[in-house]
Amino acid sequence: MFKVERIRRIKEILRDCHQIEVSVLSNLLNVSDATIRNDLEELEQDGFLTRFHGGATFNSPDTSLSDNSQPTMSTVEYHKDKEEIGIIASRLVQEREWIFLGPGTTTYYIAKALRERGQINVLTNNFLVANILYDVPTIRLVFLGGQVDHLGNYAVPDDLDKELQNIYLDKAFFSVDGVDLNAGYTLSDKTVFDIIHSVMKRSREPIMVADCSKFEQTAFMTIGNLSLTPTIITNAGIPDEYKRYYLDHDIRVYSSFDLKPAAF
Amino acid sequence: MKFFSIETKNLTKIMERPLISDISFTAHSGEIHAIIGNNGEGKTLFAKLLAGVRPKTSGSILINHEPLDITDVVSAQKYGIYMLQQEEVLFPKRTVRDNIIAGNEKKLGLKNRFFSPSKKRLNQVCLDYLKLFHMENLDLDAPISSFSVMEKLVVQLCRILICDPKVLILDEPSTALTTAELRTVFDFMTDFKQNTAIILITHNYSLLMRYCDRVSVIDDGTITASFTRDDFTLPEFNECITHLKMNVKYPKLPIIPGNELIRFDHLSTDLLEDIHFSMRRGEIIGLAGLKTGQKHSFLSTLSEELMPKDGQIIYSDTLRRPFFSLISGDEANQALFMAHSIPFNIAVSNFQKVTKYGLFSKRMMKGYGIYYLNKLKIKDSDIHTRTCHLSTGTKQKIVIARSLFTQSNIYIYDEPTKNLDSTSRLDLYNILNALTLDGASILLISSNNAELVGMCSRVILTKDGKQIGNYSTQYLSEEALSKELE
Repeated sequence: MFKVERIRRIKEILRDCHQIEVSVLSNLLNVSDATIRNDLEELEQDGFLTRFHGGATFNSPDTSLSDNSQPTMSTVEYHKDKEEIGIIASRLVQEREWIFLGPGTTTYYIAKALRERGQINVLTNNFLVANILYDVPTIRLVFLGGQVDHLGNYAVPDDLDKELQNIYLDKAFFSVDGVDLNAGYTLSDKTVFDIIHSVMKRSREPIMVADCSKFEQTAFMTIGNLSLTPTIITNAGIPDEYKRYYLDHDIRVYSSFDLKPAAF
Repeated sequence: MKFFSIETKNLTKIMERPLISDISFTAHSGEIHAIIGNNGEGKTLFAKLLAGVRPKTSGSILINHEPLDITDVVSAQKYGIYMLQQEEVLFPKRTVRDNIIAGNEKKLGLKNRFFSPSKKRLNQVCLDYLKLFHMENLDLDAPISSFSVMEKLVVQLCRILICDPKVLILDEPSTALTTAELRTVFDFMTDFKQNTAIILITHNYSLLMRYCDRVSVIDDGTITASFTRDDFTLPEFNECITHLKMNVKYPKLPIIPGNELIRFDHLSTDLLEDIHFSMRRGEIIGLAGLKTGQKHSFLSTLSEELMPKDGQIIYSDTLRRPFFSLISGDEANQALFMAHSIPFNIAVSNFQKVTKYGLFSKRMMKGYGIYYLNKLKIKDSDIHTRTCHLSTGTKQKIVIARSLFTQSNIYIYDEPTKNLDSTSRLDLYNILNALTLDGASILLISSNNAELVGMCSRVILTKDGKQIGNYSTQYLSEEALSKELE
């Protein structure tokens, strides 16, 4: 492996797991410990990481950005499946469309992927989304304010239907807590349930986003069966029964495929 | 000929696990009996047990309630059971005549003790049979390898027909044929079935509705349902069919095209004329209307096996030909190395990737093998299964895995979804999307118009080898596309 390629891989790996040991890296990349140490030293000089005994930690790349944002906001745990879903979802959004991003961390990744796009209008009640998009000049952001749910990082307007009365959306992205063949889409929060119901009435194309860990899980209350939305974005790992169900019910299924095998 | 029926009783085949369990099945003369089901559920295996290609574990096969003693292909043929296998069974270098006659001299009464039969007599026999498929113009002296899929199929059929089969098993004859070609074959079958029991394995549902008299559904190695033609209107039947059918909602991604990767600049070859289009990063482009020979000409030009007559192929970025990844429209059997392991078959597209310190590493090859088997959800086999024992759908998946292994920029997929069931198809479409998200460009050659309109951003239309259109699928419906191609 050439050095450039190696450095690129190290950066990739560190971004994924934030902290790593030299021995693990050398195993992953099939090179000696000494080589890895040299590379890490170089990367430390670039300010990309900080070394410690036997390993290195990742320096957040957006240090300038996260300085003026609340520290609690940026602590969304990295989730590869959700990131892949976010990329696909962002591609489905077309220019000049009005979209809604619901509560949850999956929508946070959609927002992240949307940062590189322009000419989009976003309505959200999710603080994480707002935090990501507020400084992008080409994206119009409308925040749906109200009472704050601290755990979920979102706000709930007092009178949802009144707020949404004159609004019409092109696409709305929702995430749920559980997806099950019998129970359908399930949620554990009554407030989120209300939000999804009201927004769905106002949007032309509701889209469900659920990573594969949500499948075969049930939560407290059902918002509808699996044919609730005509489109779902998920990961490749979902069980075949679900794919068959979606095919039988004419539901469009996007699933992300990670086609880059790790080096063996 | 008298009415007869072929029956199986509790037919079972057990390898490491039961692959066929307890199938009791009946087919009658005068009927086309279809067997349908998902990939790897045991359709082909069941047929192979009937035809003696693979030995059964237990159970019995009967004709008119008389148990048969089938141990191998020859004994099955003695009872009049013949199978048209999905694989090509031909002598590629021999002539059409040789391929039809081979092994059948005795049955034709052509061979006496001293003389081999005259060429004239043989030609007459061949023509008699080819005429059934309106192919009497075939050059009998040309080697079989130079003919199209349809012609090869007919030659194999003729060889069987000479033997006057009682039970004829057709394993997925429809995959590589066009609609018109299918019509020719099956119009013949409708006449022919009077004295024969025809068992048809297929994924083609229009064929099913049109020609079949009875349908059995095979699921997990056993027959779960059986319908006669009168039942075709029943809701249960519909439910069964939609369950298996390919009514995929295509997961099309709106594209953000990147820079140009390759441009066909007014390309003309021996069979093609004025092909002119470009492919950008992140695009899926459809290519419709090419016949087998033209496809071949196109792909050979691309691989620089054939020099273009006029025009050129321009690669941006580099002057050199970039890395291609190709799935050819040939049957997976021809693309796979049957004697080698599954990991070998996957890694063969880029052996450099499985070397370490310049040495070949078996461990790495196995690792990649396991990785791709998981990715493509190949469930009926593991890396130790012998390649020749895989089901047809799985073989196709291995070919797909191989094409993914190269990780190139340009992918050329010729009928990639053939032999795949609906969920695997959906997975493949999403794989195409994943490739484009990574900045690859895909050329999809397909005879499935819905697929082209559903997945591609643009479709290049050709007719008789000449490009007649380059449409954006935003304004192209499936109907319009079929009309243009008529």
